[in-house]
Amino acid sequence: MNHLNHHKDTLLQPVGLGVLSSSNTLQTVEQGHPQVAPLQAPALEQGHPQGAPVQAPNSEQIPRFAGMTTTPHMLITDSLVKQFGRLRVLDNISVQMARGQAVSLIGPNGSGKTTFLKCLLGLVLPDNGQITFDGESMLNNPALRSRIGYMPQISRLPENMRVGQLFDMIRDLRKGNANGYDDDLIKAFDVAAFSNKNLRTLSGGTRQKVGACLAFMFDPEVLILDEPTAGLDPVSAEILKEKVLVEKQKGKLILLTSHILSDLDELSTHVMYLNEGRMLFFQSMEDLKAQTGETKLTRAIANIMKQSL
Amino acid sequence: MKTSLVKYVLYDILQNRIVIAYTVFLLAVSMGLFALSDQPAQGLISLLNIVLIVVPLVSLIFSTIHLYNAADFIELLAAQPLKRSAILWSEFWGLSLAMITAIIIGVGIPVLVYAPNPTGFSLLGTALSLTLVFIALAFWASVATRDKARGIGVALLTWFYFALLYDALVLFILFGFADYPLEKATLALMSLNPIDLGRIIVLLQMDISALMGYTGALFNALFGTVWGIIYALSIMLLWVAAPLYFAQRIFRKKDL
Repeated sequence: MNHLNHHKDTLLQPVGLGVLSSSNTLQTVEQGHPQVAPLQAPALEQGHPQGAPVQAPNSEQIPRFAGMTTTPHMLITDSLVKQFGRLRVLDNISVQMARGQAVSLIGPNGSGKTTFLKCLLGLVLPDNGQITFDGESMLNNPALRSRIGYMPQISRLPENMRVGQLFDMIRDLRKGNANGYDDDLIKAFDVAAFSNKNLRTLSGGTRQKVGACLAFMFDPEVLILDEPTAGLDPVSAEILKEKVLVEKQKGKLILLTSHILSDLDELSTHVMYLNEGRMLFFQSMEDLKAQTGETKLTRAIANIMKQSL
Repeated sequence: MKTSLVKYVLYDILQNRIVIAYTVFLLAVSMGLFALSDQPAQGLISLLNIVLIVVPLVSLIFSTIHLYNAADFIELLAAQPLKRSAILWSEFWGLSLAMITAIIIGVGIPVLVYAPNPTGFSLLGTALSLTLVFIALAFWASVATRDKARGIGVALLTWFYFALLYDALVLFILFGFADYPLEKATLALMSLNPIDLGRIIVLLQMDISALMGYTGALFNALFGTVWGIIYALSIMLLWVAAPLYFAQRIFRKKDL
């Protein structure tokens, strides 16, 4: 119940683009409803309810994503542009994401997925555009990062530390602004068993486990997971996926990338498709599947890719 | 700046034992030079020459390599709710504290034992300021270049320029324009090299400015000992502040 209250509080804060607050409250109750985490087909229960009652008065500001106007947008990017030299890595990305959504970023290698995620974190600074988080600009606002958990693609960790020391350090650095403390994953991955090991000596998979634990540790409202299951053994990958589902049920916003579409199929409510820095579409899973007439994400995406070629 | 962050940076630095080896090396050289010379002043001169070469080199190269190796650490920190500037300053103070401790033990203790006089302390001061200057330069070099080999190359060239090339250039200018009054120009040229400034701070104390010839005598005449040292130290401070300022300007907008 704690979570429910928490979300109501944050919803009262101004939301970036105009959205009716009456419908917000309605949505919250639905989204934050504590469910016993089911393991399959969460997409059908989540997402925006069909035939949502109220239309936002200024919905013309949010033209592209019909249906999304009824959800309170937590994370908004507005015409985000990033250029590395001559290469446009992100080209005018405008997207709005809400609590309770699990957004999969899909796209070929080099399509800008990681750069987009790093922009959200402020690790890469956009050349143009805005990122708003609950109505506040993310740019030059490091304090907002206390509400985000990030698991990088390759967990790059300081070489000279032991695992336990790393956890102590991050805990020490983030104390005071923690939402709470969540050691589910630390227990599930049995981090205590290797907490005396030097980070340099860890295998790739173990590093990923450490990275995952760090991302979930402070019970953040937004989880950014870049290829979370890559390198993990099947058991650990399953543990992580279950954890993601649990957090999604709690009404958190989750962004993730993966090249294993079947993983995303289980986890996500929305798909954001990037290609060469451009966002081709942002759609809910139901819409996507209905539109393509497929029941599997793999087939649906293949379908879309064929059409766009 | 977060003090807790400095603690972890310092810990990271002390993990590889280079700083400890550096301390031991400085201590051995200083003790050896003092023990071998008949007079403390003679030992100080020899030590000065070592310090002017070794301290900038080690500070610069070690800091540059450390900063490249800490890229993972810095990226991890940057994803936390910490300001970029806090991360940069913590790295700076962590490195500085480690290197300063090395100097205080490696040079400070021998000076205190063999030559506890103004000259000795000015040598210690020079070593400390040069440490800070070259750490600051290392920050600039490693923030400005993404490629590790290139960054270390830039750092090495910087050292080469200040320690060796610069004096040759100054001599070249002095000979080339010998017919002109060059006093003020020489002074300006000297301020452009922190290693030269360090040498002057010590030599002014020794009252052997004549040994430095022309520039030293001029420096002494223009400023006198006290003002000369104050001038040299403030220019030195500028040599710390300017590279750090540029480094921070780049780092604030750097893509990690």
